[in-house]
Amino acid sequence: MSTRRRVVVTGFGVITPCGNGWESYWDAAVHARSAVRSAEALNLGGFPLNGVGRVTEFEPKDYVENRKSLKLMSREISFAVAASRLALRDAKLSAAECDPTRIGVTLGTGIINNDLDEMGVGFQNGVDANGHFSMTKFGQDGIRALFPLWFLKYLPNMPACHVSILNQLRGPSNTITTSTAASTQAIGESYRVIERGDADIMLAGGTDSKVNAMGISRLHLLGFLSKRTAAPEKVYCPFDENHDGIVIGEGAGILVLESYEHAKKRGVNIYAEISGYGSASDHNYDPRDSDDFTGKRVALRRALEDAALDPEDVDVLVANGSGIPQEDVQEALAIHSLYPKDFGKLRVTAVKPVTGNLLYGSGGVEAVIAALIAKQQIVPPVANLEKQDPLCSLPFVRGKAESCQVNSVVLNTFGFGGQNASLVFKHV
Amino acid sequence: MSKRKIVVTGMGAVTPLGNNVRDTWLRVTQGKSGVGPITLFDASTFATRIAGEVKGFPFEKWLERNPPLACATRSTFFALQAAAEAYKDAGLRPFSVDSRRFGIYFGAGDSGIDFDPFVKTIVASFNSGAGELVDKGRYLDHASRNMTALKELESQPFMTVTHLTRLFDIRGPVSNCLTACAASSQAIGEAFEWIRRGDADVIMAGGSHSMIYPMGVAGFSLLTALSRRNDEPEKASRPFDKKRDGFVIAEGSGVLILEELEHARRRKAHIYGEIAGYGSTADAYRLTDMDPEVRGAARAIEIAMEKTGVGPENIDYINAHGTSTAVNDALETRAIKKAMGEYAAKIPASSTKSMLGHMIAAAGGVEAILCLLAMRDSVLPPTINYEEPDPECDLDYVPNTARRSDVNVALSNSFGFGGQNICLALRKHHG
Repeated sequence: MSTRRRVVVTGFGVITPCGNGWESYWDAAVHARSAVRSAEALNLGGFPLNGVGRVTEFEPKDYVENRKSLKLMSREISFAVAASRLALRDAKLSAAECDPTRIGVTLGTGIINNDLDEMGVGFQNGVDANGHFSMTKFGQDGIRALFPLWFLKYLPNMPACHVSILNQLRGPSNTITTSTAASTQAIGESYRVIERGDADIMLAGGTDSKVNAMGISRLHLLGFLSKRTAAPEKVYCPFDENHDGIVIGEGAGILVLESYEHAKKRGVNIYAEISGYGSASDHNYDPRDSDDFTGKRVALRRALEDAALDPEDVDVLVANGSGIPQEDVQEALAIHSLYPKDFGKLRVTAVKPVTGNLLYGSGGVEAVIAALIAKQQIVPPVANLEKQDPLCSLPFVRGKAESCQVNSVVLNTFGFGGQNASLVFKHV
Repeated sequence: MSKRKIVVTGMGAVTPLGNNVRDTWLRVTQGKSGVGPITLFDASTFATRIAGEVKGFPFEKWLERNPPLACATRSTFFALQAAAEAYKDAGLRPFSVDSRRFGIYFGAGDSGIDFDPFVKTIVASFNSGAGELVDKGRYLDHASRNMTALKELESQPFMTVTHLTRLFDIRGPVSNCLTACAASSQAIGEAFEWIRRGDADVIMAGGSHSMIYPMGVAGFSLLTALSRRNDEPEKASRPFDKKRDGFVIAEGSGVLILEELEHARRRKAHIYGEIAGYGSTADAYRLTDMDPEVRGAARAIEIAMEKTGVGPENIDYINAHGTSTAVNDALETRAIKKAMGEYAAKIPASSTKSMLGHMIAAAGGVEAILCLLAMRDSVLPPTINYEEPDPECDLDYVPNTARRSDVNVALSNSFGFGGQNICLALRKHHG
């Protein structure tokens, strides 16, 4: 249909364990330099982590003028707010020069975990004389000991609301919660919002931090965490024969998406065009005992069809590469199925080892990498890929970054709950 | 460009007034309240002790048929029940629709913390001395013994959709949004856009939620958002009435089968009506308060009308967000006036939350269903408990008893905590 508007990427806002701003993240990716550190080095001893990607040099106050609103920001929210500020700056956008009703936001987020000390006060006051928790005592004395606005810090839609309020964005606002595919879907859905004319600009991406007691304990219980004992920066190794689970990271990635016409009129730098998006579901909810992973192939195929590309037209694929062995194998098989003869010019990379897995936020930062590959014509290597899992035989970029002609880049992200999404970025 | 038309061919609901659409609608038209004392946990010392609970739900039936649901949440069960009703109502059967053209856009809420093991873990992890209140190492240690992995997984907001795609063989596009009280309306609106674009022919849309758990009630209580009319549960939700004192938390699910018109015609499916327009804006004002200038809310209503190609003179009914909080109801009134101008006073606008309470993420799904039923039966659902007019709320709220009136175009408002405004436009389908 000819009336579909073109959508381009004009700004990046990134907060990762590599630093603040997209430059430090891209540089680390290109040099396969992992920001994963030992839990002890980050004062997170006591947690069953052999490595963790932690945002260390980050001061929310640098991004928020209204100090009172900082009190209502969980770590995830402050990452998102900071990333939104960086993204708008990178796109040289000031709300004043645009119609705020034509700028929206869609973020991928999940459950925001409670600060146990903050919440614990309530439960402490709910313990009766015998040392047991009592609901009646909690109702009487516990609830009122909680910070009155405590609830607001943990509602999943709050990151998008803060971003909307702080930047005065009055267009469509949405929050997508499809597990580790959430942020990629947020970008895909934002692309659609602009394409159909409901906004000219969207801030799209996601934020997450499970680097806390509740998050780590949940992932530990589910058995998703890597148990490898290699050097911390080497632990996380998707597609390697030693892959055995995920290493968690934290942060936020937000892209400024803009209608091509609007960006041209502003005369602003264009990183890449978004030309395709597809989603699909697997019918199993744990990638480790899944025999049905057709959703991974279908999402990828849908994104390519949407971009009017054949598989052989794709130059680079940024793989989901979670490091969960079964999921890595499924991804390899899904990609394989689109290339029955050979891979041709396709190059595959994966960047999760650089920051750790940002989970609900992963698509936000990885989309930045995908767009930069299209812009810079450089493909970062897969970090920590030493000996390929024989079941994952894909044309990986290994060792060092490759310079090559890149017209189209595909980003894959898969949710733990079977929701999968793929995006296509095009060189402009 | 000729836009594809989107119609509703199936509906399912689980609400405090009934575990299907028929019972819910019957009681809504009778002006019954589904609100009562909280029974799901001991709320006897809570400031708010009332809620709109789902009653007599057949959990066992689902568990017998589907052992993998053993750790699923209330909200997921409600979604499955409502989805099964909608699927059947639409005349869908396995293989009757191309599963790759059958998508899902849901607004399933999160399910809170698995409370008892969580509290047990925290209480066992308090530090006795100075420093942090909770010892994180001990928390982890106790958590791994007290908590159940599958329950932790099921509490995540994507799991409802995971179950739905599996049980109804949904292979098309998939998403779940969670924009507080606007979520399932937004899901319906986005699903409408998906079909319009051609990404799918049939979509399961709607939402499900239950926040009637200790931390949910505590959280909203602390924000002073909940009614404390504990002695008169059925009178507690009183949108637009002068003595309203907050919303009543409720639970349930509303699911609609959205379908491209020609696809529905080919199947000879029954058509309830058309989803004709969808407006989505943000207030960008405050986290807890609506913008007093109501620019965002009014604009969402205007966009929904523009997309439908109608004006205020064409609107026959508004299902208001009408939460029964002091601020929402006054400002929603203001927003309707701003968007509708001179027509505002003439357009009946009722709040079915007066009977159902506020199902949070699930509210919009059920309210869209009620709009379509109002259209089918030419009956406007009432706003019950409307006793004393509030000068700030001076519209026609269809007070207390249902009213006969033809509905050709209806609007459904949903405003999410944090400033997301959604308005859906629904139109009668003239075969």
